[in-house]
Amino acid sequence: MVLTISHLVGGYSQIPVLKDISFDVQPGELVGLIGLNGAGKSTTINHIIGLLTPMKGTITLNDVTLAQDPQAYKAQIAYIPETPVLYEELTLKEHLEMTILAYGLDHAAAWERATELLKTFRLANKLDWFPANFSKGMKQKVMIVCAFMTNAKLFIIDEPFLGLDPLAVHDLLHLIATVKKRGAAVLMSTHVLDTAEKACDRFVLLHSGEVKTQGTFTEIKANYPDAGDSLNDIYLSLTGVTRDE
Amino acid sequence: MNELYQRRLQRHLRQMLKYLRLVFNDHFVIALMFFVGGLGLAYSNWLKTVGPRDTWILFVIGAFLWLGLRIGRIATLIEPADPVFLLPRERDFQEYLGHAWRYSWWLAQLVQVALVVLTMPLLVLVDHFSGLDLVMVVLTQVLLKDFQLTVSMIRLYDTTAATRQLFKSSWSAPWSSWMTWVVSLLGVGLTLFAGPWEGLSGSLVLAIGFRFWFRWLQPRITVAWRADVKLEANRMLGIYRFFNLFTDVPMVQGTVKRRRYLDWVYRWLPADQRHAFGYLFSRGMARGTEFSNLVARLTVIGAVLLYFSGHGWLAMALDVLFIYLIGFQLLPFYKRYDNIVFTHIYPVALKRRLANFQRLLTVVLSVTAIIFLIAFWASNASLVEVGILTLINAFEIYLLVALYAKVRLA
Repeated sequence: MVLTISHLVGGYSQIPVLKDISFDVQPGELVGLIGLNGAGKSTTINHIIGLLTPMKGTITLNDVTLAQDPQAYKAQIAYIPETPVLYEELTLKEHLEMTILAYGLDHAAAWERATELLKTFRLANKLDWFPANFSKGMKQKVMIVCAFMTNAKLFIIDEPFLGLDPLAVHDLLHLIATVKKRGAAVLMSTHVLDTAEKACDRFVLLHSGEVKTQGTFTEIKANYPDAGDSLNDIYLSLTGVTRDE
Repeated sequence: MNELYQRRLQRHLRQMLKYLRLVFNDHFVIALMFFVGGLGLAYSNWLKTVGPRDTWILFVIGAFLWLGLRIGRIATLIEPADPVFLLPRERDFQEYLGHAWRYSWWLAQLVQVALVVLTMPLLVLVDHFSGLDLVMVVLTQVLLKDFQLTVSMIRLYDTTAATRQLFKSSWSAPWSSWMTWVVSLLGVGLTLFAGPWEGLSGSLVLAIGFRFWFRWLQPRITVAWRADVKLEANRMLGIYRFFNLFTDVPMVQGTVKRRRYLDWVYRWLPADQRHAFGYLFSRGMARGTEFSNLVARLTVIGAVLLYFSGHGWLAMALDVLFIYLIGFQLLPFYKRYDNIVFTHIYPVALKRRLANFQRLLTVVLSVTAIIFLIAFWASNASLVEVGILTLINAFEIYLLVALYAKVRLA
C-alpha cells in the first residue's frame, strides 16, 4: 500500500470540508479522484502533499506520516498542480536542476531521463528560456517533465487533461503506464471522464466531502446497475440524485 | 472645463502623493537626511575655498541654470480618450489648457527660483553680485522659463495653418526646440558675462514677445490632440521612471532579467540537496529587479555618502546604517517563493532553507561592506580606521544574519 488515507477530516478553516474520508492507492495502480467542483478533490490533494494538516485521521505513505519524518514523506511524492506554477527567475534548464537538487537525484541518471522527456514534449530546444513566459500547455509540460524525472513512489496529478494537446495527453498516459510498471502509484483528479474511464484502474468518487463510492469501473457499475453504461452516465446520475435532495 | 482640470489635478496629486510616500519611506528619509546634510556640508566647505579668481565657476553656474530650465513641463493631464470625447469641444478645451498652464507655471517657477537661490553664494563670491543683482538673476531665470513654457504651450497646438497664412509660405515650423535652447543659453550667458541688466532686459523682451505671439496665434490655431496625448504620456513615463529609481512604483512592476553575465558567479556555489534553495535564492535575487535594484541603489548611495562624509565617526555610522538598511530590506525576499507550492513540497528541511537564505544574505552584505570599505578608504581613511570599520562590519553582519534574521524569519 503506497498511500493510505483513513478517516481523514480536514479543510482550510475550522469547518471541515472533508468529512471522514478513507481510501488507498496500491503500488502500480492509477486511481482516479472524481467529483464536482467543490467536492473536496483539491482539499484531499493538499492534505496529501502536506500543505494542510489533518484535523482527524491519518495519511501514511509507505508507513511514514508527514509528522514522523517530513523529509522521507515528501521525498516520495511528485506533484503536478492543476495550474502550472514556476519560478519566474529560473530557466527551463534550471528548473530541472532545481528538481534534481531538491530531491537529491543522481545527476547523470536524472538528466538522461529529463532529456528523454524533453524530447517527448518538444521542449529540448527551449532549455535556456524562462518557462514563466510559456503558454499554459507548455508550462504544464514543464511540470510533467519535472515530476517524472524523479523517482517518486506516489505521483499526484491534479486535472492533467485540460490545456494539453491530444498528443501530450497520449504521451502523459504512456508515462503514467511506465511509472506504474516500476511499481509507483498514481493518484489523478480529473473531470475528463471518458479519458479517465479508459486509463484509471480504480475510481474514488467524492461528493460534498465524502466518498460516495469507490472501486473499479465494473464494481461501480455493478453497484449502480440503473445508472448507465459509461462513467459519465454514472457520475451524472449519482450527482443528479444528490441534487434533488 | 475648469472643473475637469481641477478634478484631474486632484487625482494626479493624490497619485503623486502615493508615490512620494513610497519614495520617502522612513528608511529612505533617514538616508536622505544624511545625504542632504553631507552634500550641504561639502558645499559649504567648498564655498570657503572659492574666490573671485575662479571665473571658470561662472561657466558651471551657467550650465547649471541653463540645464535647470529643462525642469518643469506643462502638465496637461490629457488622457488617451480625450481626442474621442472632447473633440467637439475644441474651444472649451483651450480653456482647459489654460488651467494646465497656470498650474504648471507656478510649479515650474518655484523650482527655478530654488535653483537660482542655490547658486547665489557663488555669484556673490565670484562675481560680486549685489542684492539687487541677485533679484534680477531670479527674474531673468523666471522670464526665461516663462518664455520656454510659452513655446511649449504653442507646441500643444497645430500652428501650421496660421503660420502659413502669416508668412505666405509652407514653412511650417518657425520655431523649433533647439532654437529655444540656444536663445535660453544666450539669456543665461548675457546675465553672467555681460551683466544682470542686460540679461534681464533681453529675457523680458523674449518673454513678452512670445506672449504676444501666442495671443495673436490663439484664435487661429487648433489643439494638436494626438501629439498632446503622446507628450503627456511621455511626461508621466518620465515621472514614473524617476520614482522607480527610488522605490518600486506599483505601475512599473519588478521584472526578470536574464543577466547572463552573472552566470559565472553561480558556478562557485555548492550544488547539492542541502543547498537546493541556495540555487534558487541566488538566481532569484540577482535576476529579479525588485531586490537586486534595491541593493544596487542603496550600495551606490551609501558608497557615495561614505566617500563624502570624511573618515570620522559620521562615516562609520553611515556605513553601519546602510548595511542595516540593506539587510533589513532583504529579509522579505525569504518569503518570495512561499506562494509556489513546490517550495513546500520539496523534501528539503525548513532549517536548510533558512540556512541557505542566511548564507546568501551574508554574501550580499559582505560584498556591500567591501564596496563601502573601499569608498571609506578612498576618502583618505587610514588603514587602522579601515581595519576598525571592517571589524564593525563583520560584527554587524553576524548580528543581522545569525541572530536578527533567524528570529524574524524562523
